[in-house]
Amino acid sequence: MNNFITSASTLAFAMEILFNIIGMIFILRLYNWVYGKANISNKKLYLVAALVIVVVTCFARAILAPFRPAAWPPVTVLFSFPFLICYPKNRQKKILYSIILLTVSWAWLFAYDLITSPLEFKNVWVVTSAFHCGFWGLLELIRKIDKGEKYNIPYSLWFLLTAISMASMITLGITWYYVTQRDNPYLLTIELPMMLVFLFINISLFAFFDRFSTLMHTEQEKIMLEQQLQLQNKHYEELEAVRDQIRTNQHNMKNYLQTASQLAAGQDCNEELIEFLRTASGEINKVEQVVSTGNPCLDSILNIKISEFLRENIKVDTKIQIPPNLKLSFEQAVSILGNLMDNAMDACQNLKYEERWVRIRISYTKHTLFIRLENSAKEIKSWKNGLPVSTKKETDFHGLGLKNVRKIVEEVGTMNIESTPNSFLVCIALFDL
Amino acid sequence: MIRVAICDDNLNIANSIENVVMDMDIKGLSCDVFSSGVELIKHLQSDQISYNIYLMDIELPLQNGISTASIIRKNDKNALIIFITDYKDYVYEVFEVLPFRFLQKPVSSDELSHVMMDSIEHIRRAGQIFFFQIGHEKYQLHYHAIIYFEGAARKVIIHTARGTYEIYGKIADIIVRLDKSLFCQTHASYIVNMDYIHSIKKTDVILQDDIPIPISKKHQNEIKGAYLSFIERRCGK
Repeated sequence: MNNFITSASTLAFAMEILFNIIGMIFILRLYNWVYGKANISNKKLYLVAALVIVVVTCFARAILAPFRPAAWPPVTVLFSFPFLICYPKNRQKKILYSIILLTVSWAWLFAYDLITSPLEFKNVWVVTSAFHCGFWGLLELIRKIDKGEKYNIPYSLWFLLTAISMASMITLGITWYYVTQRDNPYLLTIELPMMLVFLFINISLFAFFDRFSTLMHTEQEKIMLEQQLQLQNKHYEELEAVRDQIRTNQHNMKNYLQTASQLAAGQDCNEELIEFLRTASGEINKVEQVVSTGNPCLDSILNIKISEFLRENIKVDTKIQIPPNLKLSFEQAVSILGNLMDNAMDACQNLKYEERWVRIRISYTKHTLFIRLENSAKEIKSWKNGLPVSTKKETDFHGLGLKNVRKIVEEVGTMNIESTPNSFLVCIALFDL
Repeated sequence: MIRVAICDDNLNIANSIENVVMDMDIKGLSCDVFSSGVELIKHLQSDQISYNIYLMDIELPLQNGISTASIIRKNDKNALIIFITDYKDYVYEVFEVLPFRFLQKPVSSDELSHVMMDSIEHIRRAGQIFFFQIGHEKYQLHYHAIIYFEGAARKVIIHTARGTYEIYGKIADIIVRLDKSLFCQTHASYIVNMDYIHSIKKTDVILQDDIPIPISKKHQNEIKGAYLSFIERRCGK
């Protein structure tokens, strides 16, 4: 092996291997952050990656001339790509980030080479170390820029970002070719600022993607919240119409039965028939409202939901004392109480019959409407932004309930959510009603 | 000393309520029973006394519980009026007399003692005393008399319904002396008595009589949280 004639070259090689391993670990650390946890253990992942990069470096050493460095960040980046399969699925982000990462590492290499090669007096050790440290610094910078969002952006936008990165990579390639072909490659001309600009643009692409991703997500969520609100309003309006119809029918039925019993009495019919008709009309009276608060919006929602609770064997305890002229709109009532009661229902359904209960308190004091809804529930362990993370599989509208409640409440009041080992409590104060 | 007036035309109910209240074993608690609002008002006017807690049936002969309560409220801003209601009767003017709580008939002793405990706690809190000195004169104010504190240069102005007091000091030194379940700091130079809050907007707390008190960003979440717990305590569980 003519590569290791001197001890200095052996030492340099050892250092290159070390730098490459560290570089690889920095890359995987970045992946861990931007794509989420790998589905194999970190230890295993780092070990395999280190092995791969050692082999690659040895191979590079064997085919390259001794004075050429064997540790190249773009190569490390390239060989980190196969490990992407260990990370959660997110093709859009992986492709874009891989391309940008490759461009960034290459631009860094190029820029650094253009700066340091013309220097006449230099220490190879210092130059190499600084080069690698700079690369790690860039990786850390990218990690800081990225917020770890995992939402897709529209494909047109994604295509644009990818195209920018691809274009800079191609330009890099052409410039590289042009520079190496001329008589004196290191002229410190236009290429250097150009490389730095490319570096800057490509690092900014990470930030762009991140911002767009967050923006798209909030936008989507907003639309979904709106949709849910509309659906909910419609749902309650329809239910209320049905209940109204039932009430009218009941009322008519009662009148018919009463008339029938009067007629029967007048016609000297048998006592049994008369008695039967009386009981029947009495029965109808029993089907009444469960609660009556004097506020039509609240009444309809509470009655619809409380009858559902009772059907599910949930013990319901209500205490409601409110003035009738509350400035609470149907939309507010629906989105706050409807959602809270839906959540309570979901939580109770996961429990045994004898453990199911809901306690509803609505009071009014000092121009403030206070809603307190407590229900039996298992303790909630995962939270995000102060709201429980939905445990339901279907993600369409689930988990939006409390978000909608918060959206409505924050405009005119404040709320607090608490979870204990066997209950869930939401307190809401709506001011100036 | 806590004085309780029970007003119910049904003497059986009135007596059973009295028994529950007296059985609660609270020091210095006394109880008087009245069978009508007219009788209660007459007693208040002739003897020049007042009660801390009124347990009032809404349905009373001659003069109902609400109009009786509104006469009481006119003379006594701090009285705690607790209405005893039938499930079916909803008399909505009831909120105008600022009732403390409602008890539903038939009144369970559990619930009654619960509401009584909350009332006594409320009275204890609001009745705490803030001591201060102006020159060589020593002063004292009940917490419920203080609307808000305002810091101005090296002075603090205490705003009450009956005027203001200026003392030397800093808001930061005052807030640590106060009961945090009743007072909340909204701004580097403001502390408000939450009992006087009308509503909370983004940048201001609006007190009764539309007095705006600025909220600083730093205290925004704190004030909302504190007021929510205050309201929760006020409304009961």
